[in-house]
Order: sequence, then structure tokens, then C-alpha cells
Amino acid sequence: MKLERGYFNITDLVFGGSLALNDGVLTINKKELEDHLLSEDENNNIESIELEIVRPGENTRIVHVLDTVMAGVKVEGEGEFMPGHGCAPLITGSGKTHLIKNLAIMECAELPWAGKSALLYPRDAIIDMTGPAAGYSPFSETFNLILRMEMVQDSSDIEYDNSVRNAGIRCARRLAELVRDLTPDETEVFDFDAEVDPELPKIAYVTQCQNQGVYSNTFLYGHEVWNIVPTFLNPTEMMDGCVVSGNYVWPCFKVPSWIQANMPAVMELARGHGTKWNFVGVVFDRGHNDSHFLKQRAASLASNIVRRLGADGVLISWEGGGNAATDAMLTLQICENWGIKAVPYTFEFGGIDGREGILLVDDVPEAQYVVSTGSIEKPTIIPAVDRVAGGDCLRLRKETGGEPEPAEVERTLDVITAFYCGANQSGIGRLAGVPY
Amino acid sequence: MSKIRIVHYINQFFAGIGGEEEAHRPVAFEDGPKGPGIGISGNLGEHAEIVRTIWCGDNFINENHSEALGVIEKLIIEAKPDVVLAGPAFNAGRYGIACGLVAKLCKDKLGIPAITGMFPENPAVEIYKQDVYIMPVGSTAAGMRKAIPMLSEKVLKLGIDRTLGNALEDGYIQSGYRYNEYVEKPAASRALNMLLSRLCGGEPITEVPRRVFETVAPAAGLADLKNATIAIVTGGGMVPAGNPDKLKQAFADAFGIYNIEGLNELPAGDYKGIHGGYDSSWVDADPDRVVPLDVLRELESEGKFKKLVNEYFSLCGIGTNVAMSKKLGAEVAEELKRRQVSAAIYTST
Repeated sequence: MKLERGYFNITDLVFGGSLALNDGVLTINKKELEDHLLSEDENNNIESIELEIVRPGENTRIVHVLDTVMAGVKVEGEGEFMPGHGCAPLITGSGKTHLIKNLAIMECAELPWAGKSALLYPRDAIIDMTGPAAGYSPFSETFNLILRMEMVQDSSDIEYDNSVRNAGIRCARRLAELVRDLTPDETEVFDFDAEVDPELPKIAYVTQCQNQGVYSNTFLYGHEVWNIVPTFLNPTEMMDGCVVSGNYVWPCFKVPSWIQANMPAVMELARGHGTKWNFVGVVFDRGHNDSHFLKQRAASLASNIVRRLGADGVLISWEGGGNAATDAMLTLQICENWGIKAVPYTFEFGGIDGREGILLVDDVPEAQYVVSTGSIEKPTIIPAVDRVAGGDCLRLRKETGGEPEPAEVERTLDVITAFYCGANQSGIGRLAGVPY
Repeated sequence: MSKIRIVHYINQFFAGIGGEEEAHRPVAFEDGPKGPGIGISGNLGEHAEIVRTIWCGDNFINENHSEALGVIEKLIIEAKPDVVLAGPAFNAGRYGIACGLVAKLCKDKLGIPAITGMFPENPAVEIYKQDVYIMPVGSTAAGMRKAIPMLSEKVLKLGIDRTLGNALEDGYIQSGYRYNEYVEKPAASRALNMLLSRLCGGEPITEVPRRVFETVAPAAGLADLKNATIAIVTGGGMVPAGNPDKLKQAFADAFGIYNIEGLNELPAGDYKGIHGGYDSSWVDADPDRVVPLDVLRELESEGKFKKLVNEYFSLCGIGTNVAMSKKLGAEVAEELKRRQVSAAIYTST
């Protein structure tokens, strides 16, 4: 497969008369786009949509963040960007795609909590655009268009989930149409068809997503992957958004759709493909398998693809907590035992000062080389902010009532679970647990 | 800039006094470098000098902590150092302790940065690594030649900056303290670099050290089930509706004790799962799925065992670090002992 990605960088995002991109300024007609998105919500699960703009550097806190998507459009080649969502699930990853690089479309809503499962409810996810928590999320550096949604009462979880996702994707598509026929600011070509020097080391990437039920699911070509058998993906399929996130459970563990289409391991490996190494492909897998037997099974099948690809080495990352760490560590163990060198990256524990010595929930003796994406057991003080977007309150600790609390005030969060992408599981952030 | 002033602590052997037979010698000193300090001085350049060398017999300091340290403290203060170097002690246990004592004295009491060098398996490392910088050196004095340039560099850096960078940058033995920091490259890039290094035959330094599991011996089996008192403990987060103890759904810091007297099962609706790691719908529908009260009551009435404790213990086993788990576990065990429990069934999820 060969994919050309054309990137557009916007210099500002504003509301104005009509939808346009001029000299880098993306102008949105607020009312027109809100009405459009609301009218497209087939089953009327969304009561209202209000668009909000949040720019990098603003003293703003975004709350109730569900998923974040990228505005992309296929210009040439089969399929659509984010295939299987409002379009056929045809294989993407070839031809040409145009993307608005520094724009993030965020679905924000206070989805109902009453009576929900203790795992499967949308926890409040926080993004601070400035201050000590800004580095937890890559979206403190993007122009963010927020779909602040109010939902109707008494729809089902599946309906809410579908409606918010579809609204975000429709919004992204509408904006991406603007750049379909324009000349990108920069382009990158990823050619996986060309012959590769057989001497180059072969490297694969295993990415393990979360999928434990509605509100924690991940979609591959438009369908959740509860029953997935580990499968091969061409790196360019991921770049074209074949993986979409519907994971709203633990904010720090989310890998949003925006990041799925820009997975740092995929991008970096693809950029050196054919010159520095041979990127033999992505193995897409699901963690949180229900028993040791099923974990071994999934790990074996994932490792078997890595081996079949002829990989000398493999990077491994996962989404989700300790349960998923076991699936990943078993995969690492099998790969290492087959002579394939594996390096994972993971969040760690360790207590406030790291002296609570057990850093990983699970590991295996073969995991001798591990990269840290930071500890999730660090208290963070978030300061008072000028503005709150996405909602107007925070709902924390459902298990003790979860009453709405003011979002704009200073508060200390004793662990970082409420910060969107805070565990840095995609490896996109520079946060690390550092030994002294 | 005035020269960085270094005080160097060594033992009687490296001071040239003698070996084991002279280990009883009390504290003595000389201004200027001595023993290994001479080699170190040669590596310091123009910016630093060893102004005083203090030594003491290893037995003397180990057997007379306060007396020896009292003298050493005075001698250090007098010499007005910017930094103190102790050792290196290699794998010598008592010398290691002596170096640790002196370095800790400087850091904690005198506010003077201090550094030492030891073989990583020197028993003193475990005692002092949390308190002082310990550079890893070889096991015997044969490692001196390699140790000198490294120690010279670090003592100079410490003298100027008064602190070292993190353990990966400066190479000292990790103290166990870890903090979140923003580093130069994203995690995925660092992982790729680590992998490439391995593919080229390198042995890169892991960012997350391997954990060491503590082995917990299982308790002996019950000799007499018929006369046993049984308790239920669950990490599955089943609590009375409303979560009266406000237990957390992850990162537990407490447990709840809930009365089940007169109940033959936990009625759905009266009890709720709050565990944040699994879909609790199925245990909410039938709480006995995680607190198996129904079958235990049957077995109790059949006389399979004597008595079920009329309280169950609950918390959410997710994200709780081992230190907290040990603390809570010990507290639960105390409660069980007070109830004269013969055995407990721990259900997890």
C-alpha cells in the first residue's frame, strides 16, 4: 500500500459568516453547523449541540470529553477516512488523504450515570489547556472544536454512544471537505509497496485496544471488537482512521480516535520504513481478555502474526489498566521466547514518590527493557481557570455519589486517572517516570 | 571562581595504615589528598581540590558511631568543603557502612552534598541508597582505575551544582525515588530507540526496573473443616447500596465490614458492585456471584463447617499499590483473628 498524507495547518479557528478556510483561518458558521449536526442525528438522542472553540494557550479547562477525532478526507483511493462510520467498511490506506493537522474535534457530553455498571460509565475526562496538567494531553496544543451536547432522557447506552460518535465524525467530515481540493501545506508519502533492502531489521508493532462493553469499546472498520482475533493491519490503514475509539471509561487510559490515526509508533516506524528499518506491519489486538486461557490464546495468536511477518523486533503498547497489562506481557513473553526482541511502553504505579516499589501491575521475566510513560499515582493540583468548555461541572467519584462539583476552581486530584490521555499509553507524550 | 573544596573520607587501609589488624584505629586526618584521593586530584583539573582527607578504622567507626561521627563532623566543618566524597568502598561491608554514615551525616545534618561509591551488592547500598548518591563501582580495589575518573566527574558536578540529575543521566544507584517528568522525546520514540539498540546487540538501560516479587507462603490447609469458622473477604467491591463507607472504586485506602446476620443471600438491589475494573451488571443482578453467601449458608446448615462469620469484608482490588494492600491485608487479618476465624475465602474478579 502507498499513501500520501497532505497536511493543512490552521493558524486560527473562529466563528463567522460561512464555513471557509482562508489563509489558514478556519471559519465556522456556528448556527449552521450546529443545526446540521442536530438534524443528522437520526434517532434524536441529542437534545442540543453547542459548538465551542478552545485555542492553544487559553486558560481553559475542557470537561466531559468523550472522543476526539481528526478532520480527514480521502482524496484518492479506496474507502473513506474513518471507514465504516457512515460509509462502507472498505479497506483504506491507499491513495491520498488530506488532513487538518492541528485541529481536534471533541465530543463532550454529560452522559447519564444512573444505574450504570461500575466500570462501564463515562467518567469525567479533563483537559487543561495550560498549567501543570496541560502536558497530560496532546490536545492542549491543538485548536479544539468542541461539540457540547445535551442528551435526551431515557435512550439506551448504545444509542447515546452512537449518537455522540456520529456527531463528531460528521462534524470532522464536513470540515475536512474544505480541504479536499486544496494544496496541502506539507505532504508525507508512505510507500509500503516498494522493495525493501533485506538487510534492514524488520520491526512490527502490536497495539492492544480496550473493548469491554459499551462506553469502553474500540471500533475497527466501524464495528466494535469484542470477539476479535488478533489481526494484521497495514500501517497506512491506521493512518486513515480504521480504528475509532468509543472508550470513555478511565480518562487517563483512553487512546482517542485522533491519536489512533496518528499513533506515534506507527508514524515513526513508517517514516523510517525502507531506509532505517523494514516496518513489517501492525498487529491489532484487544486486551482485557476474560481468563488466563483467553489471554494466552490472544497473546499466542498476536505473537504468531509478528513471527509470520518475520519481525526481528516489536514494539508493544496497550490501552487500559492492569488486566490489559497481562495480555500484553504474555504477548511480549511469547515473542521473546521466539527470539523476537520486544520493547513495551507503559504507565507505572509506585506511589507518590515512587518508593512503593512495585511499578507494574504485571510483568514477565522476559520484560527486561521497558519504557515508562509516567506514573498514574501522582497528585496534581489544577489551578482555577478563566473558562470551562464542554460542560460546566465536574462529576467525580460516582461510587460515592458523584454529585456535580464546580469545574473552574482549583482542586487537587490525588491520582491522574481523570486527565484525558494522562497515562500516555499511546506514547505520544513526553511524560516519564524518572528514577533518582 | 574559587576552587571547589572537597573533603575525602577513606578507611585505614586506603590511608596506608594497615589492613584488618589496624581496623580499630580512631579518626585521623591530613590536609590534602591521600591514597585514592591522589588519583582523584589528578582528574579534578584546576577547578577543585581535595582540601582534607579524613580516615578511620572500619571497626572503630562501626562500633563507635557517635564518637567517630562527632570527630568527623568537626573535622569536616573546619575544612569548609563544598562537597564530601567517601570511599569508594567497593564490596567492603564495614567500609560501605562507614561511607554511608559519613555521607548521610553531611547531607542530613551538615547540609553538604556528599557522594560515595560502592559495588551494587555491597550490603550498605540497601541501607543508604535512599539517602545518599552511591556510584556503582567494581567489587574490589582492582576497580579503582575505572572508578576514579567517574567519581572525579561526579564529585565535581556535585560540588558545583550541589545536586545531581536523575539516576539515568548521572548513573548513580537508583534510590527508589521516582518522579514524573517531561523528558526530551515521546515514549514511543524512546521505545523505538531502545528496540533499535537491542537489535544492534546493545543492552540499553530499562526505564522501568524489574519488580521483585515477594513470595508469600500459603497457609497450611484446614485440619478440621467441620469445626471451622469461615469468613468471606472480597476484592470485588460488593457493598450495601449507597456505599455507606464511601469506599473508592479504585486505589483502595480502606475496607468495609458488612453485617450479614440472618441473611441467606445478598438481595439484589440492596447490594451493589462498585469495582471500577469490571462490568458489575452481573453481580448487581445477583450479588452472591461475588459474595457467595447463598452456598456458604447451605454448607453451614449441612454442617460442612461450623460457622460462617456474620460479617463480610469488602474493598475494590484495583490500582491499589502493594504497600497499601499489605496494610489493608494486615488490618483485615487482625479483624479475622479477633473473630477467631479458621479460614477465609477471598473472592476476586
